[in-house]
Amino acid sequence: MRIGKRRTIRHAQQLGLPEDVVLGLPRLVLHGNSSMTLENHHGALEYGSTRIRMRTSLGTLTILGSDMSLTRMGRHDMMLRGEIQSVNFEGASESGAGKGR
Amino acid sequence: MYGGTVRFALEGLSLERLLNQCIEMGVILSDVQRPRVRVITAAVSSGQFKHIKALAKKYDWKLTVRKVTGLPRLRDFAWRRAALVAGALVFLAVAWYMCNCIWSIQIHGAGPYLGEVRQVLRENDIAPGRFSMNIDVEELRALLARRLSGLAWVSVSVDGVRLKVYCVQGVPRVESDLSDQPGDIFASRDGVIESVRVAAGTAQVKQGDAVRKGQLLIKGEERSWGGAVNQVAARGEALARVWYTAEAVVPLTEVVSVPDGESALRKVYVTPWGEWSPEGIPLFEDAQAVDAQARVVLIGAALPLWMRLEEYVPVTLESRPRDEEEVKHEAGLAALRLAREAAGVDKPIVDKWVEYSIIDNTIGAGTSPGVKARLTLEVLEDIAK
Repeated sequence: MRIGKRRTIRHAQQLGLPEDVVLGLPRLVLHGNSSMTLENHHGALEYGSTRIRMRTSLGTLTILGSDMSLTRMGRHDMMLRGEIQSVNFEGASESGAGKGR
Repeated sequence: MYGGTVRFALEGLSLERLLNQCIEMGVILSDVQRPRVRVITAAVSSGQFKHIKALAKKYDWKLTVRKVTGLPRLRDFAWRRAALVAGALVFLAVAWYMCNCIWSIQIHGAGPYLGEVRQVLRENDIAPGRFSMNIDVEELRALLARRLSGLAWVSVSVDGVRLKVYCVQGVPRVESDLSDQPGDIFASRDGVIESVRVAAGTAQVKQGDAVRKGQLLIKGEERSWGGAVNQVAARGEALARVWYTAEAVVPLTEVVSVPDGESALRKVYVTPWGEWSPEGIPLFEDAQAVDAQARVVLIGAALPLWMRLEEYVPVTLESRPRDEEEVKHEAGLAALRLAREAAGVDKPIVDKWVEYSIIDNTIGAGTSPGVKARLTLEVLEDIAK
């Protein structure tokens, strides 16, 4: 983690601010395995009914499932519905995070 | 345009770019589905659909509009059927105007002032067809109350397409109430006294007395404590049983029309402004009657032109006897109605009896047997006048 980010995290912790807000980290909310909300994404890399890959500040978020569809796609948030089987972060690195911002 | 959504399908390669471009442009997609690898379907607000069109053109995607909802759909519908929409708007405007006009004027309780009330309304151009929003009911009420001094209370209101005028007539004081000159009270009719209530004067009759018209009921004299007799204006009420009689005659035969079996149809073209027929009224030797009518709308239900079919049937008038009991009942009811009108409908009925007799009833030039009912109605009435 870069020095600047570590400093930001420390300041956020001192001020009592949520880190995801300060750093723009993805916020992921799963409603069972039938729907999911993702905030602070940086775009879609792949979109299909069985696999969705989203770019985030932590790397690529891969969602595997079946009959998946986006019920809402906004600038910073998305909501999908379907049978979600797995959610996985791939290649979480400093460069990936920096590229998406 | 705000307020609608457009559901579309895009076909092409690298459709993820659509999502990312929409994110950059702030276009919010909903219900995004990927039925096939090269096809994506989504919905977007109609105001942002232009961005989708621009993207489809830029990336050479095939854009298909699946469904349009909300105001844009209504706008397209109205644009394609401008005449229908214009007609509907005109209809609504006319219906609104017609619903805001006065089509009926109801005047209640005016009695003898009915003509004057109508005259006041006429002078103020208030007639069927007048736009009701232009009528100041409060001003009209004040005008009626000012002009018609015989009315004690007037109310004017607009109820839908009806203008309602409710009046209550003032009850003028009778002359005997107004006069302070000494005087007596006499019986206005023959009757049997049921009760006497004296406000001033001395009663000359008591309950059960049979009195004749003109007989003294209350004398205008009062005796004081000292024994002196003072002359006063007699006042009081004398309730008595009085009788009213009425007669009604109902013939024992009735005239019925019997069709001869022939008929003739006549077409009449009718519009709201008049009617016309290419055929004259068929002339039959005997009596004729319009037996049946039917309406056939000619040019659609919207145009005010229709055809009326009139069927003329020649008939023969025949005189047939009626059931005697039924005729008696009818004559009795008619006599009762006449007697009640004579007595006044507000007076309590004590008793009534009816006598029937068969008479020769004169109808036109000839005579026919009929039932005469003579009804006597006994009512309670104040006969002190």
